[in-house]
Amino acid sequence: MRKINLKSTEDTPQVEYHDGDNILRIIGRSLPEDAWAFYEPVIEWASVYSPASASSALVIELFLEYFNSSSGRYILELLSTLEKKGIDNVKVVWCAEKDDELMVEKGEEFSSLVDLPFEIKVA
Amino acid sequence: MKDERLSVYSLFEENRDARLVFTYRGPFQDSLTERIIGISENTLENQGEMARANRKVSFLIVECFQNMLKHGENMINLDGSLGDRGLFGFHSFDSTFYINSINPIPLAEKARIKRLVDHVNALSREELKELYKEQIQTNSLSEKGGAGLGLIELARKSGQPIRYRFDDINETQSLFSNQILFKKDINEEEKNFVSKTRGSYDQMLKDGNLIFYKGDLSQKSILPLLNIVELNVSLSPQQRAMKKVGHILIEMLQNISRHTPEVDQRKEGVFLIGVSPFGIRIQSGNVISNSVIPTLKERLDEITGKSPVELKNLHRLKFKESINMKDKNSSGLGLIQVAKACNGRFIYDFKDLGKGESFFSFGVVV
Repeated sequence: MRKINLKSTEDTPQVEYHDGDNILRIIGRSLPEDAWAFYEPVIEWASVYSPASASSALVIELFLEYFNSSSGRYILELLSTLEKKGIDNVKVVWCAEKDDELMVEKGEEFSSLVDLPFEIKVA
Repeated sequence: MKDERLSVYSLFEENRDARLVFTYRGPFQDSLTERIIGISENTLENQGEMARANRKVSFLIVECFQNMLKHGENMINLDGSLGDRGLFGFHSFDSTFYINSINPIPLAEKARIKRLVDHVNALSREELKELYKEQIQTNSLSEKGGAGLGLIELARKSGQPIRYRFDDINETQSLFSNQILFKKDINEEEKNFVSKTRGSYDQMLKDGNLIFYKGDLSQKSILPLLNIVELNVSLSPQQRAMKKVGHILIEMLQNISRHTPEVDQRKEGVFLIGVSPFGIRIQSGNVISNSVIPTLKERLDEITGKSPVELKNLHRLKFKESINMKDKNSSGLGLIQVAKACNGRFIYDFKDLGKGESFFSFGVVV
């Protein structure tokens, strides 16, 4: 699978994927004005992802400090795209800081909207 | 929420002719300096003549803010507990920039500070330079170190007299209010903000407001504001609630940014953060065209009077639907998300400004 390595900026998160550990990480702030422009290549990557070429299930690790509503929309689209790969092949790990009630709530909401194994980790 | 009032319109009106207004009532810490400069730099960058003065203004802000950190103290309340630390802020017009600060000082220091400011104000540019050289070697004007030098530097770099006033607040303290002015166009009429800022401070104390901002709210200006709120989150004893403030503020400001027409590369709006008896208050406001009011009202009606559970369900439904929407960047989700995050505790108002425009105020309590 193609590698992804997008460095974080002041308003966009770090996004990385290496096929070695088969983890797609999205970490930081996601507040771009044009969220579609930022997430389109990631969603495109997800649509061509093939579980057949991986030795373990793909892990989507999300650790977002803040995200705006339009980013949320495309993160959901990303997860929905990966949902089609089968529940045995993809797992979501949603991380939040322990005092960040809203991010935990958001994780719960995402988990109810996609049919994928979903773990909420509070650090 | 019925007792919560929207005050952003009156603050907008009061500061209508200013390009940028920022007032801050704490907490005060050195790590804030850089974040505050971020706000002024962004505004001045696009301000013609003032763009070239950007570095000088930043210097004045740093010097002024750090002077306040170094020499200010907390107010002592009647019961002996520590109270407010004062106010720091600025106003920017086409070719003038005003830096205003107010802080309690020991009453015993009042005469010395007054003498020092009067002395500095009476000197010519050359004399100030000489005094600076002399002081940097001996540093005799202030035992605390730096106070004299700071003031001399402020007077030198601004090239204008320092305006000030003292108001004794109790038996041991006085409130020192001062204004540093930077003028690019010598002919522009000078305003005196000392008394006005003093009035704003009293009002902020009375209303419990902590931050007020009027100016550009395009993406590049929202980020430095968020950085300030974030620092407040880390310093606040109410971390949980303050963290929520950051999330809601982004959504409210980006909504303004998205729906305000750009004039001179700016999207103007206001916001304030404060503490009300009901929780933490966030209010925002902006000028909108009357033509967008029906759509906006429709969206507001959709979320008004809903219980937290109903808002949660509505958000879930709209969120799911949004994936299939063709219009990639406008889904109306932002408003629902804000209403959900504050459990439906929001108020709004439209004020007709004439000429086909209105001022839209929106406030929440978390």
